[in-house]
Amino acid sequence: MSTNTAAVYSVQKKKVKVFPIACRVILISLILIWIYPVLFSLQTSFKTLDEFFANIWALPHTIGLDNFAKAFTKGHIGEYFINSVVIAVVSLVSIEVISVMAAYSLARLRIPHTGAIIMLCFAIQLLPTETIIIPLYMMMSKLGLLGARYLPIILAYVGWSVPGTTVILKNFFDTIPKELLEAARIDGSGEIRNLFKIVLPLMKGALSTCIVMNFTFVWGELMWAKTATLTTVKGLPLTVGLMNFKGEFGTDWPLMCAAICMIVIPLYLVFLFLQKYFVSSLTAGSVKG
Amino acid sequence: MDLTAKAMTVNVNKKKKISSTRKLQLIGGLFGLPAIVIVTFATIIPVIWNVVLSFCNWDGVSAMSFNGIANFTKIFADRASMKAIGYSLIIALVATATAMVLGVGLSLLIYKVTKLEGAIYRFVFYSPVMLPLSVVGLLFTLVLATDEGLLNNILGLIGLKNLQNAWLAKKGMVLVVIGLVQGWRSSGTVMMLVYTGIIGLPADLFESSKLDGATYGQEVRHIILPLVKPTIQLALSMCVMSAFKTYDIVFSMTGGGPGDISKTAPLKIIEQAFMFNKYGLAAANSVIYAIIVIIILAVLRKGVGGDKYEY
Amino acid sequence: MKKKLLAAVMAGTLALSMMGCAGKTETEAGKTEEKTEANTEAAQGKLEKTDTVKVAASSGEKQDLVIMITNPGDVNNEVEQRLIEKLGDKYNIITKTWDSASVEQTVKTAAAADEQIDLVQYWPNQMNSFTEVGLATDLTPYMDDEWKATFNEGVLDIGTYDEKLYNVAYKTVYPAMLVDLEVTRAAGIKDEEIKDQMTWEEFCELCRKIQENTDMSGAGIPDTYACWLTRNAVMQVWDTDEELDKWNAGEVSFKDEHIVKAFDMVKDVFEEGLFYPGEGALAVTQDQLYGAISAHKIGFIFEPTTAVKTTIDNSGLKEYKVCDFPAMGNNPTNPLLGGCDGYFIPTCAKNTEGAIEAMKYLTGEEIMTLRAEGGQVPCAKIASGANVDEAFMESISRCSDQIYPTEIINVGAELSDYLQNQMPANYIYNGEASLDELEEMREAAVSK
Repeated sequence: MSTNTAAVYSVQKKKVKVFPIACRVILISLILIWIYPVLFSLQTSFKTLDEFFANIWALPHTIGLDNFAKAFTKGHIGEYFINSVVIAVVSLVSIEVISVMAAYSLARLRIPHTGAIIMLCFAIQLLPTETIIIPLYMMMSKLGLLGARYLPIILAYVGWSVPGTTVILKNFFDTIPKELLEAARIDGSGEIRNLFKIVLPLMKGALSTCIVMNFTFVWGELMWAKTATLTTVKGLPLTVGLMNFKGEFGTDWPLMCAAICMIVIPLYLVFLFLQKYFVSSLTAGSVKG
Repeated sequence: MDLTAKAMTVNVNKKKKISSTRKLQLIGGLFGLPAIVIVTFATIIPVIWNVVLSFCNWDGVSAMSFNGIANFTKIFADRASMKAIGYSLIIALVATATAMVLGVGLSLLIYKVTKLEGAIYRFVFYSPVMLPLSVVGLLFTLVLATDEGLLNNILGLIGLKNLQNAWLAKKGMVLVVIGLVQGWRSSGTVMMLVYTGIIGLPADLFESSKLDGATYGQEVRHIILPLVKPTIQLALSMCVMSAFKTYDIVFSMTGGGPGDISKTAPLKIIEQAFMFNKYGLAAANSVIYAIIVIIILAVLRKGVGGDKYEY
Repeated sequence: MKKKLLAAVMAGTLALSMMGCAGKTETEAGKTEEKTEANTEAAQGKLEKTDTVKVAASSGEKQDLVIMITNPGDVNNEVEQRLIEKLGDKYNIITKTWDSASVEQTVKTAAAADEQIDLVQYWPNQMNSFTEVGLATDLTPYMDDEWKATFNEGVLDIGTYDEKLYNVAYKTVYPAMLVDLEVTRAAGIKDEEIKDQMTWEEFCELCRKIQENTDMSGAGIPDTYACWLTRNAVMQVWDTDEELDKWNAGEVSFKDEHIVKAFDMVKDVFEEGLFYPGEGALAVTQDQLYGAISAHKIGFIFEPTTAVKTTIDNSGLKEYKVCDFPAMGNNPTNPLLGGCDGYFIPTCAKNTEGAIEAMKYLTGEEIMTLRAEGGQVPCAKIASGANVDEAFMESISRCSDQIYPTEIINVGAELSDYLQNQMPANYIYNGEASLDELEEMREAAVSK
């Protein structure tokens, strides 16, 4: 992108000088609004409960890690963390593999009625999750899946995320020039090879977008995780563990915020890690043309 | 299905290609199989169950009994259920508009800054999506509180006391406010999608416009927006969908209150099912709700969709 | 006075150990006879739990016991811990966090799939959501005389429907008012002027005085409890218990002048802006309220009795007083809404024996004492040597006898939800129209 923008600037130096500055002013002022919730959680996590109620907006008097330690020991955050990681990794790998294959077949393998299939993908996601939970739970109970650690949660997450992910990926796969694939086919290249050698390298950006979005869902989902682990203490994810901080008469927000920081920070790390793929996808895009 | 598919392809392709098309379709079917299996299990069967249930009477314990369309007529006659759907529409409208404007605007701005800066902005603007809703809910109930709320205090400080408001306790206002928060939260998703679309555009498309000395505004209007239209359309559909699934955000911000002035359809559905044991009625309500949303989506796709560019 | 003595009985042994003894008396409904001697005796007598408990027929492997009985809190955590220590050798105890917003949904989903949940916390006076569809186990056969004797008179009636006991209460809750004396003093109100039991008019007068003389608010109530005002109003507005019983049975219209007057009474104080923070008072969350209390911005704070101690601890109030809910009518018995938290066994339980055993322990002397020491009002006997702040305990339990056994909300689930979650807001926003909706629900419920 740097070469790209640089080129733009060099050509239009005189005209758009104001623009980059205005652009940054807008972005930076918006950042404040966007980042505030995180800062709020972080600053609250350093407070005591008295401090929190005394002035909700004030900065903490001291920066101590008491709440973090408490959340870790009292809330079993460590154990839940590992559970969440296992669930997230297995779910994400399954979702991406399954969706990539489905999206590829929809986009470039001449499957008929793709429009209708896409519409269906949207439609089935529309019914409130809450009403889907009962039949799904009954089914899993009948099949004896509920006793298995992680499995019921992962199955549901994969099943729920695949349609949306497929739609997104299909959308991006559509932009791959048909001729590229036709050429490969004439050369006798198999479809699996086409998918991994030609399509995916071009789609790193789209794929990482999907990973981030799926990860956000899987990492933060509460209702099904709670229902699926209703009668067991094994394999609880972090979100269910967070319930431990909701007290009888209101919530211990500083403790809750400490736990939330511990949940959110890994999310941020995943995001930051995946960021670099956006860049590589850009390069791929420019080379392609 | 096979026949119609054939008919379609025959129209488009030469006869020679038919056999390769069939082969590709076969492979396509294989590729799609895992998705079909898992989606059927986790989503389609429960959805069908739900649709069947909407024609039945069921209290969650005793056997279901067929009920015809009684549940549907009941929902249409029930003022509270209709009101809830109406509230959902308002929230969805505000939320979608907010998310789209913010998301597309942000992605266009971010496209213009340097690589590192852009990474930071993208991270920041996406971060609200990653926050648990309980935190977003708590934060905004505190920000929007009448007395100690941050917003009212800021308005007071900058001399706009007459704009101070009981943001979450006024009919109508509460829906707009929830819509704005929901839109703000999901704008990150739109931004990500559209940005991914923009950077995927071939660079040479910009070359000629650069030589012509087009401004960024012209580039946006004539090159970027038309070309990322499919992505924008996708983002719009996703936005509309998430804007109608307002259970969590409403529950954590107002719980549907005060009174029922922010009770949206998902809240109403849950209430009908689990509080009143009227699972059939709740299923009917959710089916009606889903159909309304599908119609809206279809209309949107027609309106916004249209020509796709191949490049 | 008869009333006061009865209060002592209901408040349990705490009050008894303080006041010494109690005479024979009647409940306000005049239905059941009080056997106060039994209360006093059992206070000293030890409860032999092991006798009443049958050993589960488990050969080798420990049976699961799935319980969902507490949400986190200092007292609750301790209770759960002790239960695990007590029964952990015998059963494989699986504890799930209780959450008021989703408890119904969770239990009903599990029941639909017939998955095991053995013991659940729920409100004994709101069991109809479960009993109507047969999701609660009838506990009558398990309630032997020995166990029964440990409970305070009348508390088991709350969880009894059609002569069947479905829910065993363990702590009493009713609305009270916490007064921030720093605020009232600043408004020039003398401490003596704040009577334990005020009338609604007196209460409003004091609120006005606070608002005139200071920039603080007269009263405050969190959004989740705002319904108390109207629920209490429609209950207290009747002049006699007979009239009230007719109303509670759903035989009186919501358009009745008494009822309209009751709703107006509540509407007026909100429109006058007596509740924190004036405009927007209907959307004040518990957290915002704690913040305002910490900053001494509110004179009178409506709280459930069990939350009073938490509120004081959280907000750091030093100068306070606990008052009763202001009387909103002229009925001499001054009926009060309220009830208990209790336990029930869903029909999807697989270990009923274990659940009963746990229930007995949880309502036994040891746990009741623990709760009393933590500032809660237990429903059963506590140890005689318990370390409780008796004056404080008296202040949050003295109205227990006024709790009326039924309420209009018991007529039907829809009506109950509307009165608990949509009032008084809907009346304030929509006026008459909300009464039409209520009237529809009442007619539907009564004709069922």
